[in-house]
Amino acid sequence: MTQTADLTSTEISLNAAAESVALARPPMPGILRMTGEDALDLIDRLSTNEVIERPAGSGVRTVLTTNKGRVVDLLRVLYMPEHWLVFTSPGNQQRVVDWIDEFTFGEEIELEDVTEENGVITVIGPRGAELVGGVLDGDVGGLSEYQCIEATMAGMGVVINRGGVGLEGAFNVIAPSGGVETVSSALVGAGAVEMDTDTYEAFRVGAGVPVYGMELGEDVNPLEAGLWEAVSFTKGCYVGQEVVARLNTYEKVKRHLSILSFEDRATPEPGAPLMAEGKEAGKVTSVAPVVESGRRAAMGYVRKRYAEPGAILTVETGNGTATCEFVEKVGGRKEG
Amino acid sequence: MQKLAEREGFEEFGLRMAVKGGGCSGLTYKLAFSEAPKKDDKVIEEHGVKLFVDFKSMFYLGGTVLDFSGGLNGKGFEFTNPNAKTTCGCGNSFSV
Repeated sequence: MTQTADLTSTEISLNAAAESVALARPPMPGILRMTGEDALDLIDRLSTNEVIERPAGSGVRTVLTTNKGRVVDLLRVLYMPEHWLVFTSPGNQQRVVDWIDEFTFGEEIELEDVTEENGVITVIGPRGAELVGGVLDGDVGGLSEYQCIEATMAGMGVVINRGGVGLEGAFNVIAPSGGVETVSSALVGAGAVEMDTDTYEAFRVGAGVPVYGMELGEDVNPLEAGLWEAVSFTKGCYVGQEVVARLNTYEKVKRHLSILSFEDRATPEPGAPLMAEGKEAGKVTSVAPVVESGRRAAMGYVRKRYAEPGAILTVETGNGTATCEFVEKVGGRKEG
Repeated sequence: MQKLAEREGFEEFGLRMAVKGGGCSGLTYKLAFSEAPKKDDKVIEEHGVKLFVDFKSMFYLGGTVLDFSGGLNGKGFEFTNPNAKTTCGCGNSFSV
Protein backbone atom coordinates (compact mmCIF):
# COMPACT_ATOMS: atom_id res chain seq x y z
CA MET A 1 0.00 0.00 0.00
CA THR A 2 1.26 3.48 -0.90
CA GLN A 3 2.16 5.70 2.07
CA THR A 4 -0.54 8.35 2.54
CA ALA A 5 1.70 11.01 4.11
CA ASP A 6 1.95 14.15 1.93
CA LEU A 7 -0.47 12.79 -0.66
CA THR A 8 -3.42 14.84 -1.87
CA SER A 9 -6.98 13.54 -1.46
CA THR A 10 -6.99 12.96 -5.23
CA GLU A 11 -3.90 10.76 -5.00
CA ILE A 12 -5.24 8.92 -1.94
CA SER A 13 -8.54 8.02 -3.61
CA LEU A 14 -6.90 7.09 -6.93
CA ASN A 15 -4.45 4.89 -5.04
CA ALA A 16 -7.40 3.28 -3.24
CA ALA A 17 -9.12 2.60 -6.59
CA ALA A 18 -5.92 0.99 -7.91
CA GLU A 19 -4.82 -0.93 -4.84
CA SER A 20 -7.70 -1.19 -2.37
CA VAL A 21 -11.24 0.17 -2.65
CA ALA A 22 -12.74 3.59 -3.39
CA LEU A 23 -16.29 4.89 -3.52
CA ALA A 24 -17.50 7.34 -6.16
CA ARG A 25 -20.76 9.06 -6.99
CA PRO A 26 -20.69 9.24 -10.81
CA PRO A 27 -23.11 11.46 -12.72
CA MET A 28 -26.55 9.93 -12.22
CA PRO A 29 -27.59 7.77 -15.19
CA GLY A 30 -31.18 7.77 -16.37
CA ILE A 31 -33.04 4.69 -15.12
CA LEU A 32 -36.12 3.32 -16.85
CA ARG A 33 -38.25 0.54 -15.43
CA MET A 34 -39.32 -1.51 -18.43
CA THR A 35 -42.20 -3.98 -18.60
CA GLY A 36 -44.34 -5.53 -21.33
CA GLU A 37 -44.33 -8.79 -23.25
CA ASP A 38 -42.94 -7.18 -26.43
CA ALA A 39 -40.33 -5.04 -24.65
CA LEU A 40 -37.25 -7.21 -25.17
CA ASP A 41 -38.14 -7.98 -28.79
CA LEU A 42 -38.55 -4.28 -29.56
CA ILE A 43 -35.25 -3.26 -27.92
CA ASP A 44 -33.59 -6.14 -29.77
CA ARG A 45 -34.90 -4.81 -33.10
CA LEU A 46 -33.68 -1.28 -32.33
CA SER A 47 -30.22 -1.94 -30.92
CA THR A 48 -26.90 -3.62 -31.61
CA ASN A 49 -26.68 -6.44 -29.08
CA GLU A 50 -28.76 -9.55 -28.47
CA VAL A 51 -31.43 -8.32 -26.09
CA ILE A 52 -33.16 -11.67 -25.77
CA GLU A 53 -34.73 -13.71 -22.98
CA ARG A 54 -32.08 -14.26 -20.31
CA PRO A 55 -32.26 -15.42 -16.68
CA ALA A 56 -32.98 -12.90 -13.92
CA GLY A 57 -29.68 -11.44 -12.75
CA SER A 58 -28.30 -11.07 -16.29
CA GLY A 59 -27.13 -7.78 -17.69
CA VAL A 60 -26.16 -6.66 -21.16
CA ARG A 61 -25.02 -3.49 -22.87
CA THR A 62 -26.51 -2.51 -26.20
CA VAL A 63 -26.43 0.58 -28.41
CA LEU A 64 -29.51 2.27 -29.85
CA THR A 65 -28.44 3.32 -33.33
CA THR A 66 -29.90 5.50 -36.07
CA ASN A 67 -30.51 4.00 -39.50
CA LYS A 68 -27.10 5.44 -40.40
CA GLY A 69 -25.50 3.38 -37.64
CA ARG A 70 -24.80 6.32 -35.33
CA VAL A 71 -25.11 6.25 -31.55
CA VAL A 72 -28.44 7.39 -30.06
CA ASP A 73 -27.40 6.09 -26.64
CA LEU A 74 -25.50 3.30 -24.94
CA LEU A 75 -27.90 1.31 -22.74
CA ARG A 76 -27.32 -1.18 -19.94
CA VAL A 77 -30.24 -3.58 -19.50
CA LEU A 78 -30.51 -5.42 -16.18
CA TYR A 79 -32.80 -8.44 -15.99
CA MET A 80 -34.76 -8.27 -12.73
CA PRO A 81 -37.22 -11.06 -11.79
CA GLU A 82 -40.38 -9.13 -12.75
CA HIS A 83 -39.11 -6.32 -14.98
CA TRP A 84 -36.02 -4.86 -16.61
CA LEU A 85 -34.01 -1.82 -15.57
CA VAL A 86 -32.67 0.16 -18.51
CA PHE A 87 -29.81 2.54 -17.72
CA THR A 88 -29.37 5.43 -20.13
CA SER A 89 -26.70 8.12 -20.24
CA PRO A 90 -27.16 10.86 -17.63
CA GLY A 91 -30.05 13.14 -18.61
CA ASN A 92 -30.80 11.15 -21.75
CA GLN A 93 -33.71 9.04 -20.51
CA GLN A 94 -36.47 11.11 -22.13
CA ARG A 95 -34.69 11.03 -25.48
CA VAL A 96 -34.45 7.25 -25.19
CA VAL A 97 -38.15 6.98 -24.30
CA ASP A 98 -39.07 9.21 -27.26
CA TRP A 99 -36.80 7.22 -29.60
CA ILE A 100 -38.35 3.89 -28.60
CA ASP A 101 -41.84 5.40 -28.76
CA GLU A 102 -41.23 6.48 -32.36
CA PHE A 103 -40.71 2.82 -33.31
CA THR A 104 -43.55 1.41 -31.22
CA PHE A 105 -46.52 0.24 -33.29
CA GLY A 106 -48.92 -1.57 -31.00
CA GLU A 107 -46.18 -3.45 -29.14
CA GLU A 108 -46.79 -4.00 -25.45
CA ILE A 109 -44.04 -2.04 -23.72
CA GLU A 110 -44.04 0.37 -20.80
CA LEU A 111 -41.14 2.58 -19.81
CA GLU A 112 -41.34 4.36 -16.48
CA ASP A 113 -38.70 6.93 -15.58
CA VAL A 114 -37.54 5.99 -12.07
CA THR A 115 -34.32 8.04 -12.13
CA GLU A 116 -35.34 10.40 -9.33
CA GLU A 117 -36.36 7.53 -7.08
CA ASN A 118 -32.85 6.08 -7.12
CA GLY A 119 -29.21 6.91 -6.58
CA VAL A 120 -26.06 5.14 -7.78
CA ILE A 121 -22.82 4.59 -5.91
CA THR A 122 -19.83 3.00 -7.64
CA VAL A 123 -17.35 0.92 -5.67
CA ILE A 124 -13.99 0.63 -7.44
CA GLY A 125 -10.88 -1.37 -6.66
CA PRO A 126 -9.50 -4.87 -6.12
CA ARG A 127 -11.08 -5.10 -2.66
CA GLY A 128 -14.51 -4.06 -3.97
CA ALA A 129 -16.07 -7.54 -3.87
CA GLU A 130 -14.79 -8.13 -0.35
CA LEU A 131 -16.10 -4.77 0.89
CA VAL A 132 -19.53 -4.93 -0.78
CA GLY A 133 -19.92 -8.58 0.21
CA GLY A 134 -18.97 -7.72 3.79
CA VAL A 135 -21.53 -4.92 4.10
CA LEU A 136 -24.20 -7.17 2.52
CA ASP A 137 -23.09 -10.22 4.47
CA GLY A 138 -23.18 -12.07 1.17
CA ASP A 139 -20.99 -12.95 -1.79
CA VAL A 140 -20.85 -10.74 -4.88
CA GLY A 141 -17.48 -11.93 -6.16
CA GLY A 142 -19.22 -14.47 -8.41
CA LEU A 143 -21.06 -11.81 -10.41
CA SER A 144 -19.78 -11.54 -13.99
CA GLU A 145 -19.67 -8.35 -16.07
CA TYR A 146 -23.02 -6.49 -15.95
CA GLN A 147 -24.74 -9.20 -13.85
CA CYS A 148 -26.89 -8.05 -10.97
CA ILE A 149 -28.56 -9.19 -7.75
CA GLU A 150 -31.13 -7.71 -5.42
CA ALA A 151 -29.92 -7.42 -1.83
CA THR A 152 -30.33 -5.54 1.43
CA MET A 153 -27.57 -3.15 2.42
CA ALA A 154 -27.67 -1.07 5.61
CA GLY A 155 -31.38 -1.86 5.85
CA MET A 156 -32.05 -0.63 2.30
CA GLY A 157 -33.23 -2.70 -0.64
CA VAL A 158 -30.55 -2.27 -3.30
CA VAL A 159 -29.48 -3.71 -6.64
CA ILE A 160 -25.80 -4.63 -6.99
CA ASN A 161 -24.58 -4.50 -10.59
CA ARG A 162 -21.10 -5.55 -11.63
CA GLY A 163 -19.23 -3.09 -13.82
CA GLY A 164 -17.97 -3.93 -17.25
CA VAL A 165 -15.65 -2.56 -19.92
CA GLY A 166 -13.44 0.18 -18.45
CA LEU A 167 -14.85 -0.49 -14.99
CA GLU A 168 -14.01 -4.18 -14.75
CA GLY A 169 -14.36 -5.38 -11.20
CA ALA A 170 -16.33 -2.33 -10.06
CA PHE A 171 -19.76 -2.60 -8.48
CA ASN A 172 -22.65 -0.21 -8.96
CA VAL A 173 -24.96 -0.04 -5.96
CA ILE A 174 -28.41 1.23 -6.95
CA ALA A 175 -30.23 2.39 -3.83
CA PRO A 176 -33.47 4.29 -3.15
CA SER A 177 -32.65 8.02 -3.35
CA GLY A 178 -33.59 8.51 0.31
CA GLY A 179 -31.18 5.77 1.37
CA VAL A 180 -28.10 6.60 -0.70
CA GLU A 181 -26.34 8.44 2.13
CA THR A 182 -27.01 5.56 4.55
CA VAL A 183 -25.60 3.02 2.09
CA SER A 184 -22.65 5.29 1.28
CA SER A 185 -21.87 5.73 5.01
CA ALA A 186 -21.97 1.96 5.51
CA LEU A 187 -19.49 1.41 2.68
CA VAL A 188 -17.16 4.19 3.87
CA GLY A 189 -17.45 2.81 7.42
CA ALA A 190 -16.29 -0.55 6.07
CA GLY A 191 -13.18 1.03 4.57
CA ALA A 192 -14.00 2.54 1.16
CA VAL A 193 -12.14 5.80 0.43
CA GLU A 194 -14.43 8.51 -0.94
CA MET A 195 -13.50 9.89 -4.34
CA ASP A 196 -14.58 13.44 -5.20
CA THR A 197 -16.26 14.40 -8.48
CA ASP A 198 -13.14 15.71 -10.23
CA THR A 199 -11.11 12.68 -9.23
CA TYR A 200 -13.82 10.32 -10.50
CA GLU A 201 -13.79 12.22 -13.79
CA ALA A 202 -10.01 11.77 -13.99
CA PHE A 203 -10.45 8.07 -13.19
CA ARG A 204 -13.15 7.73 -15.89
CA VAL A 205 -11.01 9.39 -18.53
CA GLY A 206 -7.94 7.34 -17.60
CA ALA A 207 -10.00 4.13 -17.71
CA GLY A 208 -11.51 5.03 -21.09
CA VAL A 209 -15.16 5.04 -20.09
CA PRO A 210 -17.05 6.99 -22.77
CA VAL A 211 -19.90 9.35 -21.90
CA TYR A 212 -22.71 10.70 -24.02
CA GLY A 213 -22.13 14.24 -25.28
CA MET A 214 -18.34 13.90 -25.08
CA GLU A 215 -17.38 10.57 -26.64
CA LEU A 216 -20.80 9.33 -27.74
CA GLY A 217 -23.48 10.91 -29.90
CA GLU A 218 -25.00 10.92 -33.35
CA ASP A 219 -21.66 11.92 -34.90
CA VAL A 220 -20.00 8.58 -34.04
CA ASN A 221 -20.63 4.90 -34.73
CA PRO A 222 -20.39 2.22 -32.03
CA LEU A 223 -17.28 0.58 -33.50
CA GLU A 224 -15.08 3.67 -33.59
CA ALA A 225 -16.31 4.32 -30.02
CA GLY A 226 -14.85 0.93 -29.02
CA LEU A 227 -18.22 -0.56 -28.04
CA TRP A 228 -17.42 -3.93 -29.66
CA GLU A 229 -18.73 -5.96 -26.73
CA ALA A 230 -22.12 -4.25 -27.11
CA VAL A 231 -22.46 -5.23 -30.79
CA SER A 232 -23.54 -8.63 -32.11
CA PHE A 233 -22.54 -9.39 -35.68
CA THR A 234 -24.70 -12.51 -35.83
CA LYS A 235 -28.07 -11.39 -34.46
CA GLY A 236 -29.58 -10.24 -37.76
CA CYS A 237 -31.46 -7.04 -38.55
CA TYR A 238 -31.72 -4.02 -36.30
CA VAL A 239 -31.91 -0.33 -37.07
CA GLY A 240 -28.53 0.66 -38.49
CA GLN A 241 -27.31 -2.94 -38.88
CA GLU A 242 -26.36 -2.67 -42.57
CA VAL A 243 -24.02 0.24 -41.88
CA VAL A 244 -22.44 -1.29 -38.76
CA ALA A 245 -21.96 -4.66 -40.49
CA ARG A 246 -20.31 -2.97 -43.49
CA LEU A 247 -17.91 -1.03 -41.23
CA ASN A 248 -16.82 -4.32 -39.71
CA THR A 249 -16.71 -6.48 -42.83
CA TYR A 250 -14.80 -4.02 -45.00
CA GLU A 251 -12.68 -2.65 -42.11
CA LYS A 252 -14.03 0.84 -42.69
CA VAL A 253 -13.54 2.06 -39.12
CA LYS A 254 -11.38 5.10 -39.78
CA ARG A 255 -10.72 6.38 -36.27
CA HIS A 256 -10.62 4.97 -32.78
CA LEU A 257 -11.66 6.34 -29.42
CA SER A 258 -8.40 6.32 -27.51
CA ILE A 259 -6.88 7.05 -24.13
CA LEU A 260 -4.24 9.76 -24.32
CA SER A 261 -1.68 11.08 -21.89
CA PHE A 262 -0.55 14.73 -21.74
CA GLU A 263 2.22 16.37 -19.82
CA ASP A 264 0.64 17.86 -16.68
CA ARG A 265 0.85 21.55 -17.70
CA ALA A 266 -1.20 20.90 -20.81
CA THR A 267 -4.87 21.73 -20.56
CA PRO A 268 -6.37 21.23 -24.01
CA GLU A 269 -10.05 21.92 -24.52
CA PRO A 270 -12.45 19.14 -25.52
CA GLY A 271 -12.92 19.43 -29.27
CA ALA A 272 -9.34 20.64 -29.86
CA PRO A 273 -7.79 19.09 -33.00
CA LEU A 274 -4.99 16.57 -32.55
CA MET A 275 -2.20 17.01 -35.08
CA ALA A 276 0.47 14.69 -36.49
CA GLU A 277 2.89 15.26 -39.37
CA GLY A 278 1.28 18.65 -39.96
CA LYS A 279 -2.16 17.12 -40.54
CA GLU A 280 -5.25 16.75 -38.42
CA ALA A 281 -5.12 13.32 -36.78
CA GLY A 282 -8.15 13.44 -34.53
CA LYS A 283 -9.76 15.46 -31.78
CA VAL A 284 -9.81 15.60 -28.01
CA THR A 285 -13.13 14.63 -26.37
CA SER A 286 -12.46 14.67 -22.60
CA VAL A 287 -9.65 15.99 -20.43
CA ALA A 288 -9.07 14.89 -16.83
CA PRO A 289 -9.62 17.85 -14.46
CA VAL A 290 -6.79 16.68 -12.18
CA VAL A 291 -3.35 15.21 -12.85
CA GLU A 292 -1.99 11.89 -11.67
CA SER A 293 1.72 11.15 -11.35
CA GLY A 294 2.57 14.27 -13.35
CA ARG A 295 0.43 13.28 -16.34
CA ARG A 296 -3.01 14.45 -17.41
CA ALA A 297 -5.25 11.77 -18.91
CA ALA A 298 -7.47 12.58 -21.88
CA MET A 299 -9.65 10.80 -24.37
CA GLY A 300 -10.09 11.49 -28.02
CA TYR A 301 -10.80 10.10 -31.45
CA VAL A 302 -7.56 9.32 -33.28
CA ARG A 303 -7.26 8.41 -36.96
CA LYS A 304 -6.47 4.73 -37.50
CA ARG A 305 -2.95 5.45 -38.77
CA TYR A 306 -1.97 7.22 -35.54
CA ALA A 307 -3.86 5.00 -33.08
CA GLU A 308 -0.73 2.96 -32.47
CA PRO A 309 1.60 2.67 -29.47
CA GLY A 310 4.35 5.23 -29.65
CA ALA A 311 2.39 7.70 -31.75
CA ILE A 312 3.06 11.29 -30.70
CA LEU A 313 0.37 13.84 -31.33
CA THR A 314 0.27 17.57 -30.65
CA VAL A 315 -2.49 19.93 -29.67
CA GLU A 316 -2.76 23.68 -29.26
CA THR A 317 -3.58 24.78 -25.70
CA GLY A 318 -3.98 28.11 -23.95
CA ASN A 319 -0.28 28.04 -23.08
CA GLY A 320 1.29 26.77 -26.25
CA THR A 321 1.64 23.54 -28.18
CA ALA A 322 1.55 20.40 -26.07
CA THR A 323 2.50 16.87 -27.01
CA CYS A 324 0.49 13.83 -26.05
CA GLU A 325 1.07 10.12 -26.24
CA PHE A 326 -1.38 7.58 -27.55
CA VAL A 327 -1.90 5.08 -24.68
CA GLU A 328 -4.42 2.57 -25.99
CA LYS A 329 -7.68 2.15 -27.89
CA VAL A 330 -10.85 2.08 -25.82
CA GLY A 331 -12.59 -1.31 -25.69
CA GLY A 332 -10.06 -2.69 -28.12
CA ARG A 333 -11.15 -6.30 -28.00
CA LYS A 334 -11.13 -6.54 -31.73
CA GLU A 335 -8.88 -4.84 -34.21
CA GLY A 336 -10.92 -2.50 -36.36
CA MET B 1 -54.42 -16.30 -50.08
CA GLN B 2 -57.47 -18.46 -49.43
CA LYS B 3 -55.37 -21.64 -49.48
CA LEU B 4 -52.70 -20.16 -47.23
CA ALA B 5 -55.30 -18.97 -44.73
CA GLU B 6 -56.99 -22.36 -44.66
CA ARG B 7 -53.63 -24.02 -44.07
CA GLU B 8 -53.15 -21.69 -41.11
CA GLY B 9 -56.59 -22.68 -39.77
CA PHE B 10 -58.50 -19.50 -40.61
CA GLU B 11 -62.05 -19.82 -42.00
CA GLU B 12 -62.87 -16.10 -41.93
CA PHE B 13 -59.80 -13.99 -42.34
CA GLY B 14 -58.26 -10.70 -43.29
CA LEU B 15 -54.68 -9.79 -43.97
CA ARG B 16 -53.15 -7.55 -41.32
CA MET B 17 -50.63 -5.23 -42.93
CA ALA B 18 -48.59 -3.18 -40.51
CA VAL B 19 -45.33 -1.38 -39.87
CA LYS B 20 -43.05 -2.19 -36.96
CA GLY B 21 -39.83 -0.72 -35.70
CA GLY B 22 -36.68 -2.55 -36.75
CA GLY B 23 -34.91 -3.70 -39.87
CA CYS B 24 -31.79 -2.01 -41.16
CA SER B 25 -33.48 1.22 -42.17
CA GLY B 26 -35.66 1.72 -39.12
CA LEU B 27 -39.08 0.43 -40.13
CA THR B 28 -40.12 -2.93 -41.45
CA TYR B 29 -43.28 -4.49 -42.86
CA LYS B 30 -45.42 -7.04 -41.11
CA LEU B 31 -48.01 -9.29 -42.75
CA ALA B 32 -50.19 -11.75 -40.86
CA PHE B 33 -53.60 -13.36 -41.05
CA SER B 34 -56.14 -11.95 -38.64
CA GLU B 35 -59.69 -13.11 -37.92
CA ALA B 36 -61.25 -9.68 -37.54
CA PRO B 37 -60.30 -6.01 -37.59
CA LYS B 38 -59.52 -4.20 -34.35
CA LYS B 39 -61.12 -0.95 -33.28
CA ASP B 40 -59.72 1.97 -35.35
CA ASP B 41 -58.34 -0.36 -38.04
CA LYS B 42 -58.77 0.80 -41.61
CA VAL B 43 -60.36 -2.01 -43.65
CA ILE B 44 -59.58 -2.13 -47.37
CA GLU B 45 -60.98 -4.83 -49.66
CA GLU B 46 -59.15 -5.69 -52.88
CA HIS B 47 -59.62 -8.78 -55.09
CA GLY B 48 -61.81 -10.36 -52.44
CA VAL B 49 -59.17 -10.04 -49.69
CA LYS B 50 -59.73 -7.75 -46.72
CA LEU B 51 -56.72 -5.78 -45.52
CA PHE B 52 -56.61 -4.53 -41.91
CA VAL B 53 -54.29 -1.59 -41.23
CA ASP B 54 -53.91 -0.01 -37.79
CA PHE B 55 -54.13 3.74 -37.33
CA LYS B 56 -50.40 4.45 -36.83
CA SER B 57 -49.23 2.15 -39.62
CA MET B 58 -51.62 3.90 -42.02
CA PHE B 59 -49.43 7.02 -41.82
CA TYR B 60 -46.51 5.06 -43.25
CA LEU B 61 -48.43 2.81 -45.65
CA GLY B 62 -50.78 5.23 -47.44
CA GLY B 63 -50.53 4.58 -51.20
CA THR B 64 -48.51 1.37 -50.80
CA VAL B 65 -49.00 -1.30 -53.46
CA LEU B 66 -48.77 -4.87 -52.18
CA ASP B 67 -47.92 -7.43 -54.84
CA PHE B 68 -46.77 -11.02 -54.93
CA SER B 69 -44.21 -12.48 -57.27
CA GLY B 70 -44.02 -16.25 -57.25
CA GLY B 71 -41.88 -18.83 -59.00
CA LEU B 72 -38.24 -19.74 -58.52
CA ASN B 73 -37.01 -16.18 -58.96
CA GLY B 74 -39.96 -14.58 -57.19
CA LYS B 75 -39.44 -12.37 -54.17
CA GLY B 76 -42.72 -13.30 -52.46
CA PHE B 77 -44.67 -10.32 -51.15
CA GLU B 78 -43.39 -7.03 -52.50
CA PHE B 79 -44.16 -3.59 -51.09
CA THR B 80 -44.00 -0.49 -53.25
CA ASN B 81 -44.30 2.31 -50.74
CA PRO B 82 -44.34 5.90 -52.01
CA ASN B 83 -43.57 7.15 -48.47
CA ALA B 84 -40.25 5.27 -48.27
CA LYS B 85 -37.27 7.59 -48.75
CA THR B 86 -34.70 4.83 -48.38
CA THR B 87 -35.01 1.05 -48.54
CA CYS B 88 -32.44 -1.45 -47.31
CA GLY B 89 -30.76 -4.07 -49.50
CA CYS B 90 -33.29 -6.82 -48.87
CA GLY B 91 -36.26 -4.49 -49.49
CA ASN B 92 -38.04 -5.39 -46.27
CA SER B 93 -36.96 -2.33 -44.33
CA PHE B 94 -37.44 1.33 -45.09
CA SER B 95 -37.28 4.82 -43.62
CA VAL B 96 -39.49 7.84 -44.24
